[in-house]
Amino acid sequence: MIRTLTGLIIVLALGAVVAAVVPEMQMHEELQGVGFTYASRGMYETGSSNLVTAVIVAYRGLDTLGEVVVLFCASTAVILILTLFPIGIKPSEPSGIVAFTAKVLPAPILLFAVYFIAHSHTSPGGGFPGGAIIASTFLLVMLGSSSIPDSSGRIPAIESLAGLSFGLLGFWGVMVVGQFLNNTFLGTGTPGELISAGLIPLISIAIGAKVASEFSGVFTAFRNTGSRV
Amino acid sequence: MVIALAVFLPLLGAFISVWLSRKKPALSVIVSQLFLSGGLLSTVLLSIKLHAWNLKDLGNSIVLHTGVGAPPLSINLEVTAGAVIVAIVVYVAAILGVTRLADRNVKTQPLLLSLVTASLGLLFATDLFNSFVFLEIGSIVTIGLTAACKCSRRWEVAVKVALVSGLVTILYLLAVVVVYKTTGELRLEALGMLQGIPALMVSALMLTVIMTEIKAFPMSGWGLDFYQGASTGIAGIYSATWSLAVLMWSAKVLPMLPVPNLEILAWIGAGGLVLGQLAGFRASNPGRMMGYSSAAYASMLLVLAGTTTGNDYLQLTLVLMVFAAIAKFSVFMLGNPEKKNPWKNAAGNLLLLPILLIIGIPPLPVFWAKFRLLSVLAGVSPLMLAAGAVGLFLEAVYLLRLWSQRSVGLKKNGRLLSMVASVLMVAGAVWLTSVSWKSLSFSGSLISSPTLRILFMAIFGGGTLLSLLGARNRIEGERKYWFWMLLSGVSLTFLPLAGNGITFYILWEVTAFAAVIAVSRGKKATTGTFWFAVFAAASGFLLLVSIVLSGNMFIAPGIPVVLAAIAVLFKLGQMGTHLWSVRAYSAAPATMPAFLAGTSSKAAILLLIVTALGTGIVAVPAGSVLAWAGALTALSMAVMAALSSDYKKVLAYASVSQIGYILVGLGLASVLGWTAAIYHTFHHFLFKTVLFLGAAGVIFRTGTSDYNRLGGLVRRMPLTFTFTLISVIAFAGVPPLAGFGGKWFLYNGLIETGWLPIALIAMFASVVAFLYAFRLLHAVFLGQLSSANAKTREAPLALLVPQGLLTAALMLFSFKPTLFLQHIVPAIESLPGLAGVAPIIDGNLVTTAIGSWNAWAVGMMVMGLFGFAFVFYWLSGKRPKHVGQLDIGFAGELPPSPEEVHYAGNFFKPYRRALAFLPRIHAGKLFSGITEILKIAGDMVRAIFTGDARTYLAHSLIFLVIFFFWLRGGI
Amino acid sequence: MSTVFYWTIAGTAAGLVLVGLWGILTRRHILRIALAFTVADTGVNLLLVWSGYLPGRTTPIIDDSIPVSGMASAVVDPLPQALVLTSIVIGVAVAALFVVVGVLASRRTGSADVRRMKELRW
Repeated sequence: MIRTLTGLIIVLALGAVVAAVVPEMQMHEELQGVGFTYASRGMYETGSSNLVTAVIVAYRGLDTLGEVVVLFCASTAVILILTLFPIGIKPSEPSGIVAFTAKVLPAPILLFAVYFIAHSHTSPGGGFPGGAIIASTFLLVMLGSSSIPDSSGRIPAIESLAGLSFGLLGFWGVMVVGQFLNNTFLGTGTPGELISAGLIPLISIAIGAKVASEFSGVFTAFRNTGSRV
Repeated sequence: MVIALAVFLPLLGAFISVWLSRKKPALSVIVSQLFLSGGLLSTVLLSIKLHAWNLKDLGNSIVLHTGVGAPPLSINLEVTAGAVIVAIVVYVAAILGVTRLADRNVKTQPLLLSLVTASLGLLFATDLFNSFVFLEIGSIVTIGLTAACKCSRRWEVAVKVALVSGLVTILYLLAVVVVYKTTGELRLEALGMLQGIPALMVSALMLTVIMTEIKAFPMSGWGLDFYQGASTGIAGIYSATWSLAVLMWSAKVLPMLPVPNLEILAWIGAGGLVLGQLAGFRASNPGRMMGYSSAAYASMLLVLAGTTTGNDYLQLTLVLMVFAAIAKFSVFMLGNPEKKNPWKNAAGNLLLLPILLIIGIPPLPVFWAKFRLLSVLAGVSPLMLAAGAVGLFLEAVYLLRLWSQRSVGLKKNGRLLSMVASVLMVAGAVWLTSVSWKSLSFSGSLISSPTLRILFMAIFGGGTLLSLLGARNRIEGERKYWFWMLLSGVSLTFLPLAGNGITFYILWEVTAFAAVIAVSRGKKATTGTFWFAVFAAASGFLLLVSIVLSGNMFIAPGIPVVLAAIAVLFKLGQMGTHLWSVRAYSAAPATMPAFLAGTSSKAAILLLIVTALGTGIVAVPAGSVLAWAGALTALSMAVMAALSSDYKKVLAYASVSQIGYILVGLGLASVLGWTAAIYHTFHHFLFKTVLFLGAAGVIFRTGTSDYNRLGGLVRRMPLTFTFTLISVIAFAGVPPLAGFGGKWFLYNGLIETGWLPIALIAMFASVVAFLYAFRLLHAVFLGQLSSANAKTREAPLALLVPQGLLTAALMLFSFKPTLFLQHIVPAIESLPGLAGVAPIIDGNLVTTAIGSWNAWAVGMMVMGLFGFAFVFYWLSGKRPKHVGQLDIGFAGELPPSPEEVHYAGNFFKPYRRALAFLPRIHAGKLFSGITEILKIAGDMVRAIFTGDARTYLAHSLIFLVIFFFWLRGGI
Repeated sequence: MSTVFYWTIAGTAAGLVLVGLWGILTRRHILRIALAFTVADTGVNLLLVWSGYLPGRTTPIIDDSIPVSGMASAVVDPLPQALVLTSIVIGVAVAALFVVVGVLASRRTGSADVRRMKELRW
């Protein structure tokens, strides 16, 4: 009771703090600050017609590398913890529908994911969502079978490779133009075409592979019943 | 390129090791080490390129652009000279930590390597959102490592860390929204562009985030639980990598906060320092103590951010945080995580070094920062200075308790790792001393008279040499402490040469803490050493504050003098504070008390003289306080000595009692008084050293210091007896030996000034002194020889030689005191500000307004009478009949054993009875009273750390709300 | 109209954050707290996207429908969208770890009640 009341008071006070700042948060009519620059120069500077991708992969690529590391650490930690202290969900026999879907759907989904990743610089898409889609395929396949997938070797290998290539792409930029994760030194091509925007597609692929392998690793870890530690 | 390597090599290593650690664990460790070493090499190169090591321009930087374009469009990593030094420490800790973690679980390696990249990224970050990403990496790794560590409370800790970092995430993103919406960019500099309400809101949000992340009071709850619950390995690596990086990142962001006045931060920090450390004072779990200490450093960061700017700020934060992190790393590595108290068996010295560093004992590096920190605080407000000093002292006390809880000299857990850390700490001490060398002065200008300087140096140097000689015997494994005695003695010897406050303070503290270490080598030294260390720390802090308040002057009049005087009392172990001296003397290795009481205690006298000179001689009211304190000490401690029945304790009480006379002399503020004081100082040195060395010999040979089990040793240890006898006669003040001279001058001075009540007390005290001197001789050397000591041999030569030399000197100066006085009296006369007339020295005759004293004549006369009596006795022909010890008549009863008939037992029973009406005043009660009050206050403060993670979140949110509305000036 | 939309989103987002914080402060079951966190996180993400909103504009993907000369006046701010992507991923990562730790904590300590996790205190 006391705690609820205290919580309520704190939240109301926070509400007052937020309310105090509201008058300063008026809606803008025009782009301001860096947003304006991104919108007016972004496509020419990076070669990516998807400006969000331009910001994520090119301008603020370091954030994205960090983001990858966040995910990497979280998945490594989850896998580590689940290996040490297995939860032990026994795989149950999949229902007919799941088993059937797991046979039919993976191919089109994968195709979609590949498109999604490869065209991140020209249309909505990107490494993260694409990777997540691939991982969902993996999850589907896993749910569609009753065995524990033994992929302890391959998934980490893909994860390592993808991570390494992301990092090395960054170093390539440093070596050529002295700017980490620069994507433009190979030329940016014509915005809107598949082969354009410098390294952005390559980085997206690396991110996609990494995200996919990390999520898959986590899914595998949840299936770990503790029989092998 | 080098920057990219420095930051991202560990990340590549992490990506590789996630695969390799499953396939080839052993190889994975090596590969990780390679990547880390490569990164370390890069940071070292950067540090050289930036000239980081002279600390002159820590803002100096080089930049790595990332992505496309330049900020604010893209993100920079800016490597400043200060950050690169921190980065090196992070690398070293990680390299050491990988080996440690590899023992436990290789699969944690990718996490640790990612943590290094995140730490460096945070150190070099220039972007608000980029910092957020790195912060998240750190939180996730911390949760992961904790959950996977070998500690029984892992789940509780992991949940708490996760909850707190979740809240931080939300608050941080809110700040990002406001900043971007208002300024249109995300560089850290954008914080400074904010104005009005958004500025206040972002300040409140960011300050809450920062204080929660760095575990500053009152948001330190989760940090305390983390340090208590996590295994020592994880806690150590965490504190030297991630925690350090977050602190330095916060140091970068705090000055940019758009608060109206940064001094607010200093007040928050100072308040947190006092309250947090009050709570820490109550901590009993060692890991939790380290947590409280970490909260202290977080508070200090806030204080610094609020009070200093520019390179000063960078230097101070760098030195404080970096070395505290190394020290914490070292402490944690020594802990054995499988034990309830992980430090139960830690190697004593390896544990003490980092603890002394965290406390800030010179010349260890943190000292330089703490000294400047307190100077800065003194400039802001005396209240803040008091808060800082009290907080830091409380921290010192509980850290020393952590150290004293260990059992002495066992085990070697983590010894190698902490040795590396120790090397770093010592290297840091050398480095910072070389950088700050110019602030030291050895001109000796604090004592204007060269004669007095030489006298004190002679006492210190000679005393050290003779004590060292005494320590060269092989008593109870004492060989291990002579180095510390030497160190203490050397710095003591240079004390009279100090030319300014900081130099004096450094030498003072080195002397004190080298002695603490030496004492800790005694067999049953734990509590004794703890009290010794606490009082040494207290007197050090008082002196430090006093010096800081005095500025360039050494001990300015007013409050600084009072503080310095209390410091002197603590150092001397005067009445009320004799708690430590008596305990430490009886606990120390046998020859250590000789050094402490005979030689080292004179440092306090020196400080008193320096203080008096610096303020133009103690003014009369202060002087009379000093004199009364001295006289009462002399009396009460003499009574204690008379009633005590432990050899070492009696000497300890006696020593304190004797120092009382010196205080009376100095308090007189006249030439005669000071002559008495300095005369007595010198002779006290001579006879007290002899007595303690003699006691060391007796205790070594008999294995006991209990009067009731000693006795009759005159036949077994005749030389020791002779030396002790002469010293006892000397200090009892019986003519013709030296003690008489001091008393004669003292009474002359007291009569001259007209302080008759004090003269009466002093006289009565010397009668009591006669009682304990008499008892000492009887109990130890005369009377019945205990059967247990029947085969006792003479003390070792190493103890006898210094006693012989000192006794010879004592005899010389007893009969020819003018040899000494003809130099000392003019020197004292030349000092400014002393009242009264100087005694006139003419040959052997010393004349004052009241009377004259010819020591040579008196001595010759006494010796003549003694010789006459001896010859008469010899010629009278009556020979004593030697009988066996048990050759006594009895009727039908068994003869009692010698111990039972030893009349040292209950020697002064009548006096004890006579004094029984007096209330039993224990000095200990004063201190236990203070301790109780502190404990109650500490309990009240720490009640906010309920252990419920949601309470910790509430702390952060309440702080946020209050701070916002306070900044805004109302609701 | 767009102003109403603008403030509605802002209000919803701020409301989500506050409700989430209230849940964090008052719930006892560890998974409910995790849930409250994701609610607050969603609110914050919504605020991020909201901060880049401009009335009557399209997504920041340049195609033939957008005149080359007027790109800056045709699209909304791309940066908040980029930030929110990062923030979502981070949120997912933290939530996943939180849930795993929470589930294991309740299994290993026998209780999902955070009030029981108070052995470390003072």
